[in-house]
Amino acid sequence: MAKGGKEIRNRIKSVKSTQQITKAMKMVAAARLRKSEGRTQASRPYTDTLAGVMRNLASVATEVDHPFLSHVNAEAPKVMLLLFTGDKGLCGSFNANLVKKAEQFIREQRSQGRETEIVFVGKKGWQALGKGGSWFPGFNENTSYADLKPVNAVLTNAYLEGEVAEVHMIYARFINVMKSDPTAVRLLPIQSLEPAGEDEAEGFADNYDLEPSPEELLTALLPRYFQTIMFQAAMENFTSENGARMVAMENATKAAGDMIDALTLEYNKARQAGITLELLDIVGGAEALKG
Amino acid sequence: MSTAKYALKVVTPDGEVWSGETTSCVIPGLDGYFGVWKGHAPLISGLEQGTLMIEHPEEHRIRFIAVGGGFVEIGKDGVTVLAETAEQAGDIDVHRAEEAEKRARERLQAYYSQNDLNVDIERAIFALKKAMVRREAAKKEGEKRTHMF
Repeated sequence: MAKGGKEIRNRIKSVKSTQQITKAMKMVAAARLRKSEGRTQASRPYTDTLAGVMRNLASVATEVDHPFLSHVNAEAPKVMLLLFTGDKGLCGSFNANLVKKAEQFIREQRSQGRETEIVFVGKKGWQALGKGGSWFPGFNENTSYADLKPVNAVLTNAYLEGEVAEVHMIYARFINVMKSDPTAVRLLPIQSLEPAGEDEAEGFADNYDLEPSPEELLTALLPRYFQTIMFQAAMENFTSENGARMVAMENATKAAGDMIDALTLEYNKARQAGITLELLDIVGGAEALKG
Repeated sequence: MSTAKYALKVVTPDGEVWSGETTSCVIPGLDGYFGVWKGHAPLISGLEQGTLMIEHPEEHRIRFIAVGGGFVEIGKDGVTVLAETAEQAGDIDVHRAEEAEKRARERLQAYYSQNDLNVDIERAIFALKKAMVRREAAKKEGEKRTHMF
């Protein structure tokens, strides 16, 4: 007998309890995923309409000279990176991929002669790249739009005071439950605000009265738009994290199942061998008595 | 007074706060409060910290919502208020709003009379405005008003 039956039985027990934990974690991740998908959906009317209005405003109000639209201090030797990760592990390569993307970003900036200052949202990124310093807790299904304000303040202050040339962000773009994509976006100056097509913009100006002027409206809405972009990224990042955790835990549960099957087989073999041995003993003893 | 109804929605980044039909509402725009009846010209306006007042056609009373930041879109199909924050006045804790107002006033006092330069003046003014709006909205809601003014 290679291994005692008792040892194998204990091993099966421990794998089973691990499997119960991974199964529970998978279900928790699934529930949080559903919730955060709901949140993303709930914020969509706001963010979509805002984005549409911003695009139209940008093409109507072309004379606006807002610091969010053009560099404050393009010569600054530093850039700021907002790095979204999760607070917890056990989600496959989710956090590692984001950290890898950030390292790549830092290398690229360094080759252009710029150092990177990282603002961490999520503990895992800070653990990997933070040299002391502080971090913001990661976002989850219960955090609200207003919770982004402190992060927003750190970024905008550094940018408006010219300490950093640009502000970038890295987050996991949600594709589907199985897949997310670590994405780098320039936040400031705002990159995604491409003016709408001429026809669309003309229709917009004809159809709507604007109050106050397009310029003032754009100036009032730009900081909000900026925070909305971050908010969406934070929500998507959290959705991606839970997708990754769900898949990782599903795989772990399956692996534990395979392990239990293999161990059960081994246990049965060991038990069989034991019985055979005992039988041989009895038969051998009986033969000896007969002799 | 017109009794024609139109659809009104109040949404924030955290979700929808109010949705329904109304005959008229008053909106705190960046250039001041303005009223909207059915058939209003299409308009996009910025929002100020203020109280959104909605005529509730079935209950025959006014609903108050404290809103702040964002904008309002008046289209052909109705009115959409896209606010950064929006709170139904019935959900506002009056006591907490009063406390916040007191704190903001103290901060302003410290800045102006004791020259305390640690006070973030813009934030203090913003906080005071917000607290006052919330207190007002809660008070008006509590009175179960049937008229806006």
